Amino acid sequence: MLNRAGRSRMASKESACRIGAVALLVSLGLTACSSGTSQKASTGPVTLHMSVWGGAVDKKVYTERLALAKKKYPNITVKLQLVPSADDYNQKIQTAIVGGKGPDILELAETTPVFADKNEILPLDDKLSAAKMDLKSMFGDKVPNIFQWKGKQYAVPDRSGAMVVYYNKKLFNQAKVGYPTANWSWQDLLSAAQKLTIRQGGTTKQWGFSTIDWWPYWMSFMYQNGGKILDSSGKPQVNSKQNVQALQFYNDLAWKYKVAPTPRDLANMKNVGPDQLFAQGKLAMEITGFWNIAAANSVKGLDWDIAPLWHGQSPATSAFFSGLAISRTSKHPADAFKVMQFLASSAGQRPIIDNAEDAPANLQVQASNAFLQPTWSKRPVNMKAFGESAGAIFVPPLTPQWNEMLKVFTDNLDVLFKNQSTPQKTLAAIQQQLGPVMKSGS
Amino acid sequence: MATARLGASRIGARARSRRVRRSARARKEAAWFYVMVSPWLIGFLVFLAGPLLASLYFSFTDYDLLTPPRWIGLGNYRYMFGTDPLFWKVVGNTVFYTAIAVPVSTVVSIGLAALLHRSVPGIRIFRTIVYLPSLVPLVASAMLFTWVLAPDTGLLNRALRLIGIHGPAWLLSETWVKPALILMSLWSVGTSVILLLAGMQGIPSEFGEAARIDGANSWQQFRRITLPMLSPVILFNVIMGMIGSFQIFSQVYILTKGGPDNASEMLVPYLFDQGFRFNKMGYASALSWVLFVIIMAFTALIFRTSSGWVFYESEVRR
Repeated sequence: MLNRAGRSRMASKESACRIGAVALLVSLGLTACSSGTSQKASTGPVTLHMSVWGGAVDKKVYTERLALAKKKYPNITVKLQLVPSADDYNQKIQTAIVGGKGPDILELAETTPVFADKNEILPLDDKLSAAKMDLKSMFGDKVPNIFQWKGKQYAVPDRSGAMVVYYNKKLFNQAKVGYPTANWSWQDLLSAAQKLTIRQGGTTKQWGFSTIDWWPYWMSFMYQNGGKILDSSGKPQVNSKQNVQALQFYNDLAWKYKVAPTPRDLANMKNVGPDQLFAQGKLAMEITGFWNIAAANSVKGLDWDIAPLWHGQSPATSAFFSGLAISRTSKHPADAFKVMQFLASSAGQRPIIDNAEDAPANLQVQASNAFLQPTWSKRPVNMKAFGESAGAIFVPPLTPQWNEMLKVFTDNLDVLFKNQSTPQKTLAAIQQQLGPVMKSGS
Repeated sequence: MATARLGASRIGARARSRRVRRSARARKEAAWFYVMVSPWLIGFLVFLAGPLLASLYFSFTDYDLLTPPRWIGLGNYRYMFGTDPLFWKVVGNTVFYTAIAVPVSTVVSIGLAALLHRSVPGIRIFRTIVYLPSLVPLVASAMLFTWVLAPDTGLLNRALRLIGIHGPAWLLSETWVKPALILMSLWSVGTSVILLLAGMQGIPSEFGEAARIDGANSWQQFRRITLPMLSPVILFNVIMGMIGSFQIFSQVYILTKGGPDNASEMLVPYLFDQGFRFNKMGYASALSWVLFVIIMAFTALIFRTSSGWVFYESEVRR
């Protein structure tokens, strides 16, 4: 796996380390393999490893970006290790770290606190201030906080796009409804969805909106209503008036107003997601991310655009994000940081938009013409919606128990979304079950 | 008695002299045995025995995959049996699934094998059709079943409606999600049908003829000859089916993710989540060892009772 070229000086130490790693697995003891971590940037040739997840487009984009980095720092070669499935990614990275073959730079998203809490990645605050990198001016007020744990910055934002509203212009025109804007209230959403829902003889032919059990959906409504998941000390604060109201409205969209499909309706439609329903022209509005542009573009005759999310008490939307972190086991953290600094710059982020991979985290790039009028798009798209939503992004309650917490939510919300419980009962149950879950980490 | 003992000692003496003569050759043969079997033995020791023992050790530790495991004695097991709000529900689900799926698919596969044993024109086509689903990858058939089991538009409920039954919402219902998974397990009985069919074709036709002459009807022939002769194959199918059912994973992972509200959560998907999604590898290891003990216990139980219902022809000949 590791490329040994250019590291011949360290070869013997490395193999000793490798034997140590095997011994670690066998004896289950801990072997520290420190073979002279250099805190200073190297002058001679260095090889670093960077782990990311994704498909063919992601591979192309990261390769292009690393080639640009190589141009800037000719002595640093970064080898890309791509894991095709995001689901397998954490498992693979963790196994690699345990086996002593962890990467130098790694892409992280929701699991940043898991790695940070176990000291598997380095806090970057000192390096950031030494390099005079101001993350807030580069990435906005909210996005850098997503990658913080216990007050320290553990990753530099890389890709980050707010979730926005995709709307079908043709259906809106037919129903004579004005296009969605950030000024919409929940009431505006509801009345538009009502006009956009078409029923024929007991079956619904066209839906106004879609409510699903995915966290970026229902959590946005909670945050828009001033609700929270965890309080400032990290204790669950789920069972609040604001959250009850939000879930009541959310569930009513499907069951009371019938403008969104119920789980049963979705199962009858062969478990399609909102993205597919939207592509089929059966859904007038959906919440989704940057990635759906390519899919929506590929559907012939689909006339659509995007807008920032409506607001409730206050604007709030979730974001899709990934950041770059430095592994504790990296022998060249200073070089790794230099590469990361470049990848965060306008030049380093440019291939992300040229290849339509994702929304770049750097706001300057999000505001550039190359992003706002992309050459790859066959039709004009209101790309400004992403930048305009940046201020509304809420920082999700990421902790090392994130996945476990979401399971508690999904288990209980699925019962509510079948209309077999009430928001009060559901949130009380979640609050009660989250207690032991959140405690288990500390 | 006396003749028997005499016979036995005579055979013993003959064997002893043969053993002396053959010892050199036997030793050589044994050496070759170990040479031939060594790739597997080494593979087992390196790739299986090591991780096996390691997981036993991990089951007594708090291990998050990132920091070194910390010994906590019986902590994981105490949490499992005492505190974990889901463990007993998950065990209940898994036992329920196994207890129904294994007998049902055993009966269905014997029935299918009996039907496919007849010599009717085109029987090969039917045999192929029955085996075909076993060739479809589990992921694909799981996707297929989300369509078959859809509440109102699904094939199954539409068929039930024709005979006046209003079908349940299957995968969305806490009551019906396990029966739905059991139904799906029948989809791939093809493999056991093939084994049973081979077993049936191995039964000498004289047995049937003799029984017919004695006046046995076809049910009696099936009950008194076919079933006893097949019982070793049935035992094999039951044990393999039981182990496979206890380890059910893909169907749950793809179709239901354990939902609704953990009504279809089974032991293996549960321990997978604990280990790889919640970073509780110590607890996941403990769960896997408990699963191992459960499977061993049921296997032993089936073997114990098997002497009462499994018939080996060789035992009669002896």
